[in-house]
Amino acid sequence: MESDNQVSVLVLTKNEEINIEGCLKSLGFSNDIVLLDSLSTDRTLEIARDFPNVRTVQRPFDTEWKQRNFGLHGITYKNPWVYICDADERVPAELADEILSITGGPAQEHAAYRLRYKNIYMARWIKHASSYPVWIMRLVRPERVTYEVRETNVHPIVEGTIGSLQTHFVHYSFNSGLRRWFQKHNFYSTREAMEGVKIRAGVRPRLRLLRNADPMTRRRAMKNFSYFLTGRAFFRFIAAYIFGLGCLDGLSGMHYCLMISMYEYWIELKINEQEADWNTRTNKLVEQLLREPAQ
Amino acid sequence: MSEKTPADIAVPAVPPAPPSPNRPLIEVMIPTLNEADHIEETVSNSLKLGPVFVLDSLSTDGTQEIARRAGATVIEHAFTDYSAQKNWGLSHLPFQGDWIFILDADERITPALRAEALGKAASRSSVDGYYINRSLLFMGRVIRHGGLYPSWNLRLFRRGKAWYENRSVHEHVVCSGKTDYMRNEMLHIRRESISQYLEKHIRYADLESDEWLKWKLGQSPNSPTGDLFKDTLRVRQWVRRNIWPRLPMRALWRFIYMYIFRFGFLDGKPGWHLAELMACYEYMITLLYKDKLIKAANDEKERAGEEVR
Repeated sequence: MESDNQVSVLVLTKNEEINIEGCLKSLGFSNDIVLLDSLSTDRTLEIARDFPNVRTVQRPFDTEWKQRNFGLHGITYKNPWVYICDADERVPAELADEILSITGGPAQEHAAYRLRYKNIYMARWIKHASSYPVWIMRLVRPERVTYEVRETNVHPIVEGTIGSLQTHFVHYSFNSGLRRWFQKHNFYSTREAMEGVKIRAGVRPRLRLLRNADPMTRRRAMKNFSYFLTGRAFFRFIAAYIFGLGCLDGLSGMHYCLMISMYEYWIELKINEQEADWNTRTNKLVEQLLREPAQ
Repeated sequence: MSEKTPADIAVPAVPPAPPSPNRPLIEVMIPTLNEADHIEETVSNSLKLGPVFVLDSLSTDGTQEIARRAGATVIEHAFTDYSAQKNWGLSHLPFQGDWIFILDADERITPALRAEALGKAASRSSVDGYYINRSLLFMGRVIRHGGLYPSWNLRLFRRGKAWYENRSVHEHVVCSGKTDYMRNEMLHIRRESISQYLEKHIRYADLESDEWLKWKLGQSPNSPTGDLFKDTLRVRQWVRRNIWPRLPMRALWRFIYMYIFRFGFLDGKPGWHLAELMACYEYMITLLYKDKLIKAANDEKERAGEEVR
C-alpha cells in the first residue's frame, strides 16, 4: 500500500505496558507503525497486537546509537518519511495534521524536521522548568539521517537541510511511575558519567561553540563544558529554577528542578567514582587495617 | 545490657556440646546470599578466629563452592527472613564450642579484635554476650561520623544465650545473659558501585513510601493507639509515622543532621557524599509518596465515578 501523503512511525520500546496503549492511540494517523522492541518481558507486545497498523521488530539493546541507527536503516518502511516517537510521548491531532501536510506536500527540500515538546508533570505543563523550548529532531528521511556514536542522549547527523514544525508533541516524563524514572536515571547517569570521563580526558571544549548559531551545537558544547564543572547539581538547579523560571511552575516546577539536579548530582558523583577508583583505595586500607602485628 | 528474656522469644533447647579434647573456643557463622565476589576473603579472615560455617540462602553465583574451597563448612537453607534464617543457623548448625561469632560477608575481623575475642572467650568471666563496634569503609576512607559511628552490634555470644528478634528487617539480637562491650572494632566494607547503591536506595524508598501511604490511608494494622506515651519505643514510632513524613524539606534536614550535627564534614568527601546520598534517599521517598497519593486519589475518583453510573 504505497501512498504519497503518509508517514511511518518508529517507536523504541522496552517494557512500556503502562505507556504504549496511549501512545499508539495517538499515532492513529499513520498506516505503518514499527515497534522496535528490546525484548520486552511485560505486556507491551500483547497490547501492540491490538493495533492493525503496528508491526513489531525485536532487537536486543546494545547501545542507544546502534539501536537507533538500526531503527532508521535496518527496517524497510512503507513511506519515505519516518516520525520517531517514544512510548511516553503523545502526538496531538494538530501535530498529526502538520506532519501529514509536510509529508504529503509538493516541495520537500528538507531532509529532516525538528519540533518542540510540552513536558507534563503532576498534570501540569512545566513549561519553564523543563527549559522550554527544546528543539528535537523527530521527522526524518531515514536514508539521510545517522545517529552519532555516543554513550547516551545521541544526536542525529543530517545530510541536508533541517526544517521546523510549529506544533508540539506532549511528553509525560513520569507516567510509568517515579520508581521507573529513578531507575532509568540511575542508568542514564552511569552512561553520562562514562561520556563525561571521556570528554574530561581530552581537551577542554572551545568556548566559542557556546555562541554557535545552531541551538543543538550550542547545547552539546554547553554539555561538554559542564563536565569540567564541580557542583553540576547546584548550577543546574539555579539555571532551571531561577533563570529558567521554573519557579513560575509552582510546586510541580520545584520538584521537577530538584529531580533534575539530583540526576546531575548522580552524574558528577559517578564521574568522580570512575576517575578516583575508590575500591583500590578501600582495598589498600583494608589490607593495612587487617595486617597481622609483627611477631 | 539486658538481663531479661522477653517472653515472645522462644529459646530453643541447645544440646550440650559433645566433650572433645580440642573444642574450638569460638566458631563463626556467616549468613550469605550471592557473595561470590567477597566470600573467599571473608572466610580466610574469619578462619583465624575459629572454624567457619557459611549459612547460605541458596546462592546462584557459586558462593557455596568458593566458601568450601576457602575452608568453610557450607550449609544451605532457604531464606524466609533475616532473623529466622540466623535463628535456624544458631539452632541447627553443628557447633562444637561455647561461643559463636556472627559475621556478615562484607565485614572483617581485625587482628586486635580477634585477640581480644579469644581472650574473652577463654576467660572465666560471667559475660554471655559482647557488643562489637563497627567502622564503615566507604570511598576509600574509614567513616567515623555522620551518625554512622559508633555502631554497636551484639555479635559474639555464648551458644544458646542469644537469639534474633522476630522482625523482617533491621533484625535485633536479644541476649538472655550479661553483656559487655569489646574495645576493638570490626570493619564494614562497602565496595558496591554508586549505581548499585542507588538501585538499593530506590528499592527501599519505594517500600518506605508504600508504608507511608498505608499509614496515611489508615490501612496499617498496628498503628499506635491512645496509650502511645507508655514507652519510648511507641513515642518514637509515633513520631516516625506522624511527624517525620509531614516535615517539610526532610531531605535537607537529613543532610544537615548528618553533615553538620553529627560532624559528617570531618569525614571529608566521603562524608559529604554519604550525607548527600541519604538526602537523595529521603527526597525519593517524598516524591514517590506524593506520586502514590495522587494516584490513589485518582483511583478513588474513578471508583466513585463507576459507582454513580
